[in-house]
Amino acid sequence: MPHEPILEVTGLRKSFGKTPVLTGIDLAVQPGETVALLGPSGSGKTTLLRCLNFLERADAGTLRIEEQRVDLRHAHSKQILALRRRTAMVFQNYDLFLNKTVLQNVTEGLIVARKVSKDEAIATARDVLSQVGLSTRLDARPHELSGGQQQRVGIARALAIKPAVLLFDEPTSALDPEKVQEILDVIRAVAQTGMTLLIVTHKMGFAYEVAHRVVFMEGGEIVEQGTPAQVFGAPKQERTRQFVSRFTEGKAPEYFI
Amino acid sequence: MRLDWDTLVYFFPKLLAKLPLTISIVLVATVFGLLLGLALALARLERVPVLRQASGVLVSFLRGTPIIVQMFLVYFGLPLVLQTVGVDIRDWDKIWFVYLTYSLNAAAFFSEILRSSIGAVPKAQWDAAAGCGLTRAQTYRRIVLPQSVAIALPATGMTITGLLQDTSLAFMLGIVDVIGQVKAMGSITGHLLEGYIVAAFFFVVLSLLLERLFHRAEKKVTLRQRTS
Repeated sequence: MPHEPILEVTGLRKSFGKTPVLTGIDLAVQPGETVALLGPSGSGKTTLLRCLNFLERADAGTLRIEEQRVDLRHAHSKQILALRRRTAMVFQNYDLFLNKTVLQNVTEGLIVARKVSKDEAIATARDVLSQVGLSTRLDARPHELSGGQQQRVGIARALAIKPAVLLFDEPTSALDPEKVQEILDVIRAVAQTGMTLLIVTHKMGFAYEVAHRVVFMEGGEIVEQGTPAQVFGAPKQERTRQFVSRFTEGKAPEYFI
Repeated sequence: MRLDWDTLVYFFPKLLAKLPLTISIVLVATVFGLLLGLALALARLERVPVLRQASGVLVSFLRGTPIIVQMFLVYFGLPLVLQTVGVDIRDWDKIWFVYLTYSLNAAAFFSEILRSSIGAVPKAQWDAAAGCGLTRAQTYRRIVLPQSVAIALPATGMTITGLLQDTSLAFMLGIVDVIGQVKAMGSITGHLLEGYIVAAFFFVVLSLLLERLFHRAEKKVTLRQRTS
């Protein structure tokens, strides 16, 4: 792609105590690109995502999103806040604000963090909520919603901020199998709007279909990356081959969507 | 010794008149105790250097000594301490020392309740708030504290009820609250038992009211936000 990357990580390293989790990650994401992070459990995908908005503090590396560049280890709280406001995150367990209604969950970041007027925030919230297929129950509390509905709110909350990059951390892992598809459809629709998405997922079929690029991680490093056709169709690395074989050979159909 | 009904009836309005003072001790201690307790809890949760250690020592001391000891230390000790810096509070009304003691004492218990209930708010709520670009202070104010209130309510109700019972020691400083009045009228009339019966009635009624109040508040809050 001809553009300057919208997000660029270099030399990201992270250990939990003495256990290395990420051992030097370099990754660039183009504007409008949908990148799927794949890999076995413990490969560091989620940690990588969490380092990008400082939910985890990396031990080394630099990060640039749009024109803001920070040192991942030494960034101070103002830089972190500014950087966080360029991203939004959708969580595995939805993590809606339990003391807020559906509508308030979406307006919270707009009103409090971005100082958008209340009326404008509500208009935006209604807009993104209908975009994810939730136009009713705006005054419901999180515990009154199904998992699928909660995750729709989670996605709407992230969309409302109009982030430069939208981060998804296994957005369907906590859902009933039948709800998985409806959330994946929502994410696919978001991807088609030209937003930049970075998605940690186990849904290889979804990654194959929606991602522009697939990044395969194992043991805290990026083993291989390329278009879905390259990575799934003709993996260069043995480890990638083993991992995707379960998908491509159709031995585990639950990976198919 | 036998119970004299006429004395009982005679005491009732006299003690009722002192009830506002007793309630004022509970109210003042609750309001300032909650404010100071929150500050003490935050000093430890946010690991503020120096304040964090000071908070720990103060809370341990206040929870580890009888309130009567604290009251005398405040009443006799504090003026001495303040005198060395040129502030003279010796002719302050005694009630201020009572308010101060009970506020400090309540703060210690509230700080532990708040500390644990803030800690009980899922860490994921912090992550979600950070993901939305909220600052730490905004997260406390808008997300974490409202949720921790729901968790803290039952223990807070118990502490306030305990505080109400503890006010029965304020008379030791010469405060004429309900118990102080029982003592005073007892020595004048020779009827102590009747006074204590009326006092017991007031305390039970107040405790029941508090219990009802907190039960309602809990119901209301847990209906609005249920964890999971």
